[in-house]
Amino acid sequence: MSSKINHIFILHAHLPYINHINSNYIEENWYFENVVESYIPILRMIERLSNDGINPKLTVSLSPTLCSMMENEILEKKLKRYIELRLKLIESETEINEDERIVALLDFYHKKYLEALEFLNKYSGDLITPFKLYQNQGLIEVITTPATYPIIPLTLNRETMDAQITLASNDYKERFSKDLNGIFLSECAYDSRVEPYLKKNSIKYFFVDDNAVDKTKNSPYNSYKTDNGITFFVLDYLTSERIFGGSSYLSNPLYRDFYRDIGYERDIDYLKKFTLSDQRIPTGIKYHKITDINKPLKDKEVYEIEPAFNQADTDSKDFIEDMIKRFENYQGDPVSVSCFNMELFGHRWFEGVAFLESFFRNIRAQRYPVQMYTPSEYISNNSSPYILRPSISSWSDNGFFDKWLNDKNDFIYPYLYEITRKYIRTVNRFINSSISADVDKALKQLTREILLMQSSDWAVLINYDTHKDYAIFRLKTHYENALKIINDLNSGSLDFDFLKRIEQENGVFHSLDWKSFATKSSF
Amino acid sequence: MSFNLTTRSILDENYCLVLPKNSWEVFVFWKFSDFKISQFEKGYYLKNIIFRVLDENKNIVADVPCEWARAKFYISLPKFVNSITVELYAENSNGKEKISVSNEINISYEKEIKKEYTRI
Repeated sequence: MSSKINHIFILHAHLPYINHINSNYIEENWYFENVVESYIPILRMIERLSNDGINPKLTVSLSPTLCSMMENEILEKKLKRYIELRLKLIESETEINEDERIVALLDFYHKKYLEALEFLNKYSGDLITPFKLYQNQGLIEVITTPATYPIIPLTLNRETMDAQITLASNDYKERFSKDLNGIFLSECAYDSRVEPYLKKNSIKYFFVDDNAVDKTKNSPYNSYKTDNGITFFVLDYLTSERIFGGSSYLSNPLYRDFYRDIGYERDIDYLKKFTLSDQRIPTGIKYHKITDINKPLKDKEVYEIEPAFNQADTDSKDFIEDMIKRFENYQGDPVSVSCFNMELFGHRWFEGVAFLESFFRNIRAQRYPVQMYTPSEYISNNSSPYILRPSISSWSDNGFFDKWLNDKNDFIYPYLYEITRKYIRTVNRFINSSISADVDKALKQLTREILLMQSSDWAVLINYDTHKDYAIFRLKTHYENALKIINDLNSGSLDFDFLKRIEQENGVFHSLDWKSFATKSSF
Repeated sequence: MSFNLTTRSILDENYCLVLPKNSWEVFVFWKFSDFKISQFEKGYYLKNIIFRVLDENKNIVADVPCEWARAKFYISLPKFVNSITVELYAENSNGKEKISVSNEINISYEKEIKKEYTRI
């Protein structure tokens, strides 16, 4: 029987890089919603826990594209405007609503948006600073993902794989002033071909989905080492089952309903003043509880804060107790790794941050036999004796890559391959020659366009038919931008106005080294 | 521009590449040089090309015919393999001609285990 459960809790956050200078795309709202509803509430939770002497030892995975957005001044201004307009919407709603439960909820929302604004002001709009601060205080461990979040097993050039890992590692060092210890491979998609690049960048650990190991032979509750000496952890699927599965917490009738939103109910002309959009979009202002998952949205009952937040506390205890029960007969001390998208807590699951906070407080208060670890701390205390080669896998759908590669989106890969090859040829042409500052600038921007096109987000959006037009627009834009720069470089006549414009919009990775893409070997 | 797939390569090269969709199905796409396309168009080769799937030990797993101009194709693997490469052959009255060999991809070592998991 195990005397204690070693637990690693990962919150993974990623968004595609979306930054438009002169226009408002509704896709930008993804970032604003997540900041207000998840990132800031989670950061504030860490602060509260720390103030009460509780070290959550949380692992936070932040993709480099998201980090770039967190430091982007244009987005910072838009985010402030977004919050201010939401505050006005809440104030307007308070004037027209009479139900005391809704007025209480609006008051709650108002405080939440004001707190978000205060938090942003405290850190001068830069959300990287608090993550960095909490990491330096030992409260969290921040890790990252490949640079623009490509699916590694669907990556066709070794140069791309190398560049995606090396850029991510360098970006992390620059941003967090320390070496990168661990990586969360995009969508947990593993392929052993990535390991030389992990090793090259001194990355000590990564994670795989539980179907990457044969559980009839190997426990998913051990850490392992690959042939290359890199540690990997296996995600504990049963912890996410508690939250997402058939009788999961997320479907509790008391919790707030995610889908019913005043953005789909109020008059569009009224909404426009606050959303700045002609389309119906979610506003985050929701008044109803799940009530019964089988009931249509119109029949949902009015949400009440207190019972819902009490339920989150009850569920957090159940989550811990269920984990303890599962390991009752386990030989040795298991390591259980929970991993969730950060947006789940607060944004998708309104009471999620309360659940998380109760989870950390209850482990301490109830003296549960659960020892929280960051991965680096776990590795330094528990050197794994087991060597294993995980199978290719991902944490999505059926455990593979169907979501990013099917009849709807497979056209991406031939285009991506050809433009990347054309790009690598261009880079190889300049790598050993002395070049002007203008050519260097053009090669940097060319690299950004290629990297942004490699993001797996476009394939997902096309697969689900949600924001498909936007995804195709982005793929086309990056492809055409890259092709134009290549042609301009080949003809020796750079278009500086064009470069300046696209650099403003797609200016991710300020100090990237385009030489990362030069040919070392090829398939 | 529009993303319409054709077999014409902007690199003016003949190649085929393979990607893993899951552990029982792979995606193949191919491109031809302008010269090769003209050969197909003029009937120098038969309309169907052959994809020969090889396992990690270079044993033949399957020979799969497909029309040369389709530009992409999904191949279901008839048996469990660790990794594969795909060879692209064109055929004419003189026999088969190997046009290209794909990259090698890892598939899986536990095919039957994968299917028991369905994510929500």
